[in-house]
Amino acid sequence: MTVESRGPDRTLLFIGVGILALVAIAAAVVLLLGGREPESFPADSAEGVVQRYLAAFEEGDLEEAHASFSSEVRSEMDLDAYEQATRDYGMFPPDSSRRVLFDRTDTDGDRARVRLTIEEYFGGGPFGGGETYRSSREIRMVREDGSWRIDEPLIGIEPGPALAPDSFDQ
Amino acid sequence: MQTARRLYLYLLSGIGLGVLVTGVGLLLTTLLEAIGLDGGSVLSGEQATRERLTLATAMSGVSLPVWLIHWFVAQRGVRPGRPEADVERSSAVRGLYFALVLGGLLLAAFLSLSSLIEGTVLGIAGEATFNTPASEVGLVVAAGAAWLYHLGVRLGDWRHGPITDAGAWLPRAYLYGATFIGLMVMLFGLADLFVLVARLVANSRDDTIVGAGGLWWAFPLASGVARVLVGGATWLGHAWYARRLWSDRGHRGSIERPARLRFAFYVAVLVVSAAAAIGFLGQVGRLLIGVALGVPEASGSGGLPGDVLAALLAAVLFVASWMVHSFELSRAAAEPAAAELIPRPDRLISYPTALVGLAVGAVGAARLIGLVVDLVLGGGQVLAGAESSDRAFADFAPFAILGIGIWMWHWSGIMRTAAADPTIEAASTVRRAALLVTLAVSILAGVASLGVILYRLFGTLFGLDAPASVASELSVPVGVLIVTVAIAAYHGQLLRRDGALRAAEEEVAPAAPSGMRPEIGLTLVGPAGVEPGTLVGVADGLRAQLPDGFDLRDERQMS
Repeated sequence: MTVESRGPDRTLLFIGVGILALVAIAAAVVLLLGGREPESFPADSAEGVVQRYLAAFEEGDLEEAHASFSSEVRSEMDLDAYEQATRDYGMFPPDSSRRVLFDRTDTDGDRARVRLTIEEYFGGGPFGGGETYRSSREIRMVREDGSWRIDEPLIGIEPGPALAPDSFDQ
Repeated sequence: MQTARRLYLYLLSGIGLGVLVTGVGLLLTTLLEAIGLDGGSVLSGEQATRERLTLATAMSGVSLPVWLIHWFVAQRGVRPGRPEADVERSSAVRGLYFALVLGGLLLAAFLSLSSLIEGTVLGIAGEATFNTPASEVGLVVAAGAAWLYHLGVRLGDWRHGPITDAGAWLPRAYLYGATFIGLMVMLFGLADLFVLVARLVANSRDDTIVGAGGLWWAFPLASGVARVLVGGATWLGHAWYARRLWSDRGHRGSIERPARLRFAFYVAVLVVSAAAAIGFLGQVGRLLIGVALGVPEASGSGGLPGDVLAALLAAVLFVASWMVHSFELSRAAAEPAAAELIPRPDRLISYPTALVGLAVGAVGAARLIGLVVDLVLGGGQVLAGAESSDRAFADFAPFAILGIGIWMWHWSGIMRTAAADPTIEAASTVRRAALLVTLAVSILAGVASLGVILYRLFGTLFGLDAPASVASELSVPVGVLIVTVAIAAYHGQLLRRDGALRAAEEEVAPAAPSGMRPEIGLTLVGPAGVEPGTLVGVADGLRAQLPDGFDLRDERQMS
């Protein structure tokens, strides 16, 4: 084998080893660092209320989820209406490929906004549209009787049916 | 002037023909429904039938004279004995007309026949269908008859003498396009049937699937059978016709055998077959890694063994297609008339296949790098939901390995050839095109990912809201950027080296002898008014008659 022909073969060998190393590193990182479980946020914080609301909704406990709403939202949309709206929106089992990341909470007196990032992964690889979509979400909160409540109608994490226009006069 | 006249004649003929075929199709539908071939159409009934009959009669009555008059004038121009008949037969507008008309009619017949077969299979399975057999049969007959008529006219054109340039290659594009589409529709239909059979076998005792809607398999089965039958018939018919052309010993064969479109067809089949084979093999790896990592199966799956078997069978199908067509390409290039045009057929096999492997492997590698970046640097406080890193790994790792593996397999052969004779390989148009395409795509993808990274960076500097985890947001663009920079650097360096080799060769060339083979210059002179394309066709015919060792050269060479 000449020096000229050894060069290209060596280059390809490096590339092949590099790809195998990348796969091995990715596998190790996935096994070691992957599968992070949700953190537990304080129950009396605005983000903690959102977290418990989402947990109740995903478990199908709509009564508990509905209790997380502010009195104004609950007066506009009682439990029956909420259950009906949830059915109308279509209840799918929780998508294992979706996660909600907490960004920050902006507080202004008895009102707050919880800023979240929604990550949705659609699998399938290069030929199946395997993509991660990220979107920002902001949830309005209000403090009532010393506890934070969600001050907008939600179906899961999605915006729920619109309430009367004067519902959110601040 | 002549071109404008031709455009007018063929445009009006085409429009007239389209309306006529639709009108006749509707008339036949009405007739077939009247004799009982209905199938319970929601549009049937006395009033609907009358309205359709009125519409069909009006369409046919208006379009028939338009088409007849313009087509008669167009055909008069190619009648034997007319002074401009040869020029007319080879005209680009007539070639385009035949390519579009044959393609459009074939498409109409293809879709109608597919619907007819789908409806028949669904009917046998006892499922309801919205298609009426009468309307499908009507359009198949009308479009099929028009297609056959135009095929006959075109064959008549060829019987009267050579057709060259756009007049020849435009209908040729139809021939190879139809062959390619027919083959791919059939192969993907077969792959879908494999999946269906695997799911049927794997879930034969699964009550959830049987109970989910009775004959859940009826629609996939009908669709698969229709695509296999109609795609297969289209492919077989056109491939058989193409083979007849290649084996023709007259002027037609001498023009068709070395046609570039014939080789473009092979390359297109190789590219799609390689991509599909990698896709299905990657699917196998994805399923197996997913099971190893405990990734939940996708709903509707046919179970692991069934899905793996189905993907494997589909992969074998496309690997076979790749092998058959690479063999056919090599054989076609070895024919005397094509040997000069395609001196190194292995380049047409290796470079496109390597590029497919590189594209898939690069996507897989970029996503794996992004995954590592996300997990190591991403952070972010998870409020709800589960992470999908194991699923993403299973989705992309097999494609990174398979894609780069296929690329290395073909690229090592290319590198060995280049090392053995660097100057000749550096002068190859195929190599240059492959390197430039790779460079262009990697630069574009790299620039796009850099744009995303800078957008986020500047957004942070200018006080825009930052996402919960900037590293997660930028993980995929960073992965793409790293991979594309590596690919661009590697291929750019090869391009530079090739350019230097070509420059060195050009400096040496003037000093070298002008060629050891004796040659004389000849000029081919045609009758007054003949188009250059006709002269090229005659030269092609002469070239085919030359004894071994003799060449009649022109400037249309491709390495």
